Amino acid sequence: MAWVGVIEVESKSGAHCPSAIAHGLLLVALLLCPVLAGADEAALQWPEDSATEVLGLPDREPEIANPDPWEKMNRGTFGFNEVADVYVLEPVARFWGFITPHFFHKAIRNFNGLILMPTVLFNDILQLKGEHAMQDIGRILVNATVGLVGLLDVATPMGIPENDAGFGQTLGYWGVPPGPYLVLPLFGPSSIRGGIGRVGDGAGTFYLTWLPIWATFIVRGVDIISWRSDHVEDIDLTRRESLDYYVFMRDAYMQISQARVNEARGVVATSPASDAELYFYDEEFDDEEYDDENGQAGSDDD
Amino acid sequence: MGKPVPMTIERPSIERPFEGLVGPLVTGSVLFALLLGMVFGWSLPAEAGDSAAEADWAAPPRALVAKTVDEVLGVLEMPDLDDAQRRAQIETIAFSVFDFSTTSKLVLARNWKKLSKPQRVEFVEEFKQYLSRNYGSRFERYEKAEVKVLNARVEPRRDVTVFTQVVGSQYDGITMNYRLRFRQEEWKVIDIVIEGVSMLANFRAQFAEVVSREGVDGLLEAMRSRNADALPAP
Repeated sequence: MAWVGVIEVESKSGAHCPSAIAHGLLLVALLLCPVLAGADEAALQWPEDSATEVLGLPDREPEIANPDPWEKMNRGTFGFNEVADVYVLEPVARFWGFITPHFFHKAIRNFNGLILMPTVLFNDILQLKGEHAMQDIGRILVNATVGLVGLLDVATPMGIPENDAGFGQTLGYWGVPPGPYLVLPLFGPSSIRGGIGRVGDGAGTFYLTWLPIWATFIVRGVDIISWRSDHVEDIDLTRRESLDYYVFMRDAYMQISQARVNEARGVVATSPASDAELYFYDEEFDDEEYDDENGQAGSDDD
Repeated sequence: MGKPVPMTIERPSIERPFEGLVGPLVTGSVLFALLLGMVFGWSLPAEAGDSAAEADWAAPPRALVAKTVDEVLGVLEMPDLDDAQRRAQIETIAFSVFDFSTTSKLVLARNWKKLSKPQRVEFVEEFKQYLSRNYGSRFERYEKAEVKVLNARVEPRRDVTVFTQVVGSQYDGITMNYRLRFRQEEWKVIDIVIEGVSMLANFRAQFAEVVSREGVDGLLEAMRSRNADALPAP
């Protein structure tokens, strides 16, 4: 029905979307309707804008032309982090991966997951997500007890999903733009919003302050080393194969943080970039001739 | 209504008090946990209530993704293949479902216009090889995994996104969404979005950077030399 709606709406301009109510889910309707209504204009609307508008949430920030005005400084910091990784973290992680079995890494991850749960809980509350907050409380109660102080993740198989709300995401949820991309020394890719988010997330583990600082360092450090050792090949490959590893990381970071904000707002976007910008560029290209001559260029079946 | 059946509860003799405690503690907390689960009734968000026509439109691309995923997993699980054979087989499958000419245009965006016709043909070919290198080498470290093909959604202008999730292996729980477009009477994949990161957008950012520094010739040269490099052993 909606598909019929597409054709209808595309044929007449300015028509309102007729099939909106037919959609089972309100959100889907919100996502599709304005897009279809504007479909005959050259510029497609990004669904998120309309969805957030109707939901009363702040609008998405306008596209920043250059996400990385501090590129020179960032590349410097990035280079420093790469050296630190290649000469310290990666060798340590390789050795760690060599002497420890995978299930041990899993246990460390679970344990850290439990430690960081209050942060998640606070942020779910700040995002007014009652159900998620309940799940977080459930996870804490279950994994801290049946899960042997967090070493096992009993909650997930029970069907209590793991939420990963963070303060940067909360800021984005309330409409704070990411600001310029910022590479933090040792902590890696971030943004202004992400950096503030990190500080906020740190405050969520306030209760650890009764522990000696070295204990916290060990627990977090071992988690980071385990994580790194699980991703030795992935990072190797990406480093080697990307045409520009710095840009790869920057873009991935920006996309992931936008995706997390979309997720918090309940927007299921295909990609964090604007749909029209990312997927319909080809229509501006006057290259029918290319398609005619190389129609099979992309389909080497057999 | 008859007489109530008398019930006898046999208590196990408790020899050590500690033993008696462990059982109830464990069962108690398990029950408590189950109760929590039931009370809060966690469930995944309801799937989008697609209308019938929309579902009809999204069904073939979803089926294509499901079939392709099965084929690829099938090749990965064939025991007697060496890496090169495995890669060749996956390449064949991947090349048949990918729309490289659309993807190349989208990935170059503004810069596509700067390419001459022979350069366009060359770019499409190099991009294909480049993708094969990037993704092919990841399969060499394959651990047994399943891929759940979830719902599909109709996007603006009739594209369809098929949502999938990896189950098992080191990539457990990762979402991989495929964007498909119906072009020249065929459904073809034009983008893969892994954990919210669009491959298309990411390559576009990188390629734009190289073009702005070294021009389109520089980009073609970079891809040529990258593709000519021998792949290091996994």
